[in-house]
Amino acid sequence: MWLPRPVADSAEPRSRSRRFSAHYATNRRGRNLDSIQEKAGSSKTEITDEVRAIDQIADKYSEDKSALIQILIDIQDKFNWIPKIAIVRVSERLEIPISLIYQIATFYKFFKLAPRGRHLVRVCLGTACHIREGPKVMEAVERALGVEYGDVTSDGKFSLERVNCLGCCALGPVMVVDKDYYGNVKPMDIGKILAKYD
Amino acid sequence: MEMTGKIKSAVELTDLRKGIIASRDPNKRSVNICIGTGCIALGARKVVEVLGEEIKTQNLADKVEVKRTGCLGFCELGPMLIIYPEEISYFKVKPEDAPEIVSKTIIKKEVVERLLYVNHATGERTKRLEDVPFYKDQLRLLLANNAIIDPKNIEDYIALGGYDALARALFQMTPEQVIEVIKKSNLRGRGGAGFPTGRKWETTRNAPGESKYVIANCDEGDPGAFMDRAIMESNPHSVIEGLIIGAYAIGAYEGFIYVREEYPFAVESANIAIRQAEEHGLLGENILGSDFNFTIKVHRGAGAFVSGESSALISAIEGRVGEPRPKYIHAAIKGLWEKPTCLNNVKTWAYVPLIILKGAHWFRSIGTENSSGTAIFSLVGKVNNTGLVEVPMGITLRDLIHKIGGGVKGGKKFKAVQTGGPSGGFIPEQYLDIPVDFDELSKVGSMMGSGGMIVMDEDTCIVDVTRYYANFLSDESCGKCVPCREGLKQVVNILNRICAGSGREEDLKTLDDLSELLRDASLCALGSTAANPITTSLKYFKDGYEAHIQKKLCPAKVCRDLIAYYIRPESCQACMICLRNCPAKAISGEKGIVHVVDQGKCVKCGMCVELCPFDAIEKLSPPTPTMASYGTKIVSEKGRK
Repeated sequence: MWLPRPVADSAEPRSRSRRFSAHYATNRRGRNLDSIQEKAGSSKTEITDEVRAIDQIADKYSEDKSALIQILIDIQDKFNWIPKIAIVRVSERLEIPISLIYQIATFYKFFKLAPRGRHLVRVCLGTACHIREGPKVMEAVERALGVEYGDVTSDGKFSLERVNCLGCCALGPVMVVDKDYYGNVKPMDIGKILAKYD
Repeated sequence: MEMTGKIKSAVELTDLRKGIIASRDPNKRSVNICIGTGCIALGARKVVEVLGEEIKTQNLADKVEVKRTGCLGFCELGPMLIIYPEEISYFKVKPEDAPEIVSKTIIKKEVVERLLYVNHATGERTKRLEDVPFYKDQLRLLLANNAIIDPKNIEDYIALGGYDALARALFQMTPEQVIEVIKKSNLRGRGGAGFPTGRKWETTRNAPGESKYVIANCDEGDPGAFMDRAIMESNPHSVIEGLIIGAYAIGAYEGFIYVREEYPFAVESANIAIRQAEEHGLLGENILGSDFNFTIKVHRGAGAFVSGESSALISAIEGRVGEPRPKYIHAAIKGLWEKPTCLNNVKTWAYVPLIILKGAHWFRSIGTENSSGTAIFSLVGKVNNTGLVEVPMGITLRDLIHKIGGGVKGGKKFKAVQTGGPSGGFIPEQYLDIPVDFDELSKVGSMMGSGGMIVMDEDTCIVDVTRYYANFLSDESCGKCVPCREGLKQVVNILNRICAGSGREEDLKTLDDLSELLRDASLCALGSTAANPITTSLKYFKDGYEAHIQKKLCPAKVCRDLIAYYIRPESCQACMICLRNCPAKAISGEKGIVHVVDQGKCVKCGMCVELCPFDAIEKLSPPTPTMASYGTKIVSEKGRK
């Protein structure tokens, strides 16, 4: 989505958030988005524990629009994924259209818009791992879990994801389950590693 | 040494340093354990824990300190630790080694021979780190202090002379003088492009505008490179000090460190370091009692390779989609929030304090005429010693790979070295004697890039790796400009076809045309440099492509559609191991009967090769094995090879 850059700055330095809302104030056709935002702001989201947790995160960044990505990262750290309510609530709090938040959440690989399994299995397919038979490790994990990367097992136990380098190339091929790193993994070790988690 | 609050002058900083050094007992032994990501992956945390307990139970807690340091670079042999003051270094330490280390080395001052480094060529054991071949030929300007600094303790950095350069810049130099020193030092941007840092600073300083920004780029997306992570994790204050000096020179009051989310320890380390610097009055208002104010924020990147591109990174910090912008106007004039912005790699920033302290002339004396200083590579792939190496610019690739890297793993034949990640090219054997610097690598079609250096042996298929890069880049392309978005997709299609054995004669010409298009018409460097792996592989490894296309075979036996697993009847002992473990149930046989792979069922996972105790299974390309018919009896014990 193309958006016009903000107008060249005036002599008086404006606060960052105002500058930012000037940037979002009009869309491509020059239509003012404020009215849409007002509508979003006035719609009453029911205050649940979830919403309270999201509010806490938004408060931490004092509703700074430029902190949107940081807020989403914190939300994902908290919930393990980005629930729909989070996008709606962040849109209300930061006065940023839902579509733009959705654009960010789908552009960056880190954000997941579907719930993850209890354990996160990440297999590194960076170059060093690739030439040290990382793809075979990935296949073995896929076989062991019965899902392809990007999916969650049907019992909700494991999510399988690929990453493009975890920065421990010397140990390739590498896989990470939750926060445990496994280096020099062989396809036949996979069963043993996964059995440690329940 | 207790926290004394904010430091208000250069004298107070010196006093604090003297105090820290005086409060430390030079005879107190220190066990420094690397807890970089690599060593953590190998179990360093457990070693620290057990060692700490052991020291406590032996009542040595007041005589021995266990220090958690950053990355020592030799990740291959982690977890590793160094015992000071003797500087005895132990590799591949396991938790169960802790009691012996304490009772022998710490109490009796004896060396535990089996934990020392063993030189495989000579069988010799080495006690000190500097004598290990991997370290001997290195020149570690940025990485050396990793071994002696606890990244979570600012006092360690200050004790080593940290923030002295900042005091000198603030109180003895004008901003112009700082820029002049950096210009004279010939420091070039370590992000890969090698743009002269001093010139960038000067442009940013001279650009009109009140508010300016400085950014440290630690969005190390290049798969296969991890030096930025190591520096950020292990010595964050060197980057912060560099940023403050840069901000002073440029006239910026706000700075950012952009770290990718995949590096959780680097994010943590940066945040802690910033907090401690603020507490000590090294960041914030009136730094060291001067009238200079400066703050730094950490911005976590959310996983997009293209966001490492300077203009895309700036968009990401603004909280938007990290897509590159056209660079008609440089970021130094209009960058972050349309303000003059100076963006440098973390390594570039980390050199700054050293140059301020030791002078431009010293820095110029290292390296080559046009590329001063050192270069940091992550030497990985099929090489014996993998890890981070820091070498003076101008060293040859051959020395890097064979002397420091210890040659190709398993005595295999060297095929190529790939530098610069997905944006660089393959360099064949005949160019191994070129000196490594910004310009020489470009001449052979590759680039310095962020410093990934991946060694490939005869078992690596260049076509497959080229496909890997094209796939990676096509995946990471933001989709903004057509040549990159659509061109890379076509490149992937063609390479997939070639790897599957259905390549056509005209494909090579099409690949060549596409790479030219990518180079000329892409908006940012992701697209334009995407051509490098394609062009260099076509130029130096054309025979590999031709084998795939004409003979339908993969010489390295990697491309799965072009290989078959085959059990040699004369070597098979019918032990049933492969048969039981085959995930596809593709192997048939019984006791006394030679096992046979059903090629129709085989998923080519290679598990059988790994498991076979008799080395009876081999890969064939082209995949036309002469099969033993089912029921062949095994050759008797005597007849076995």
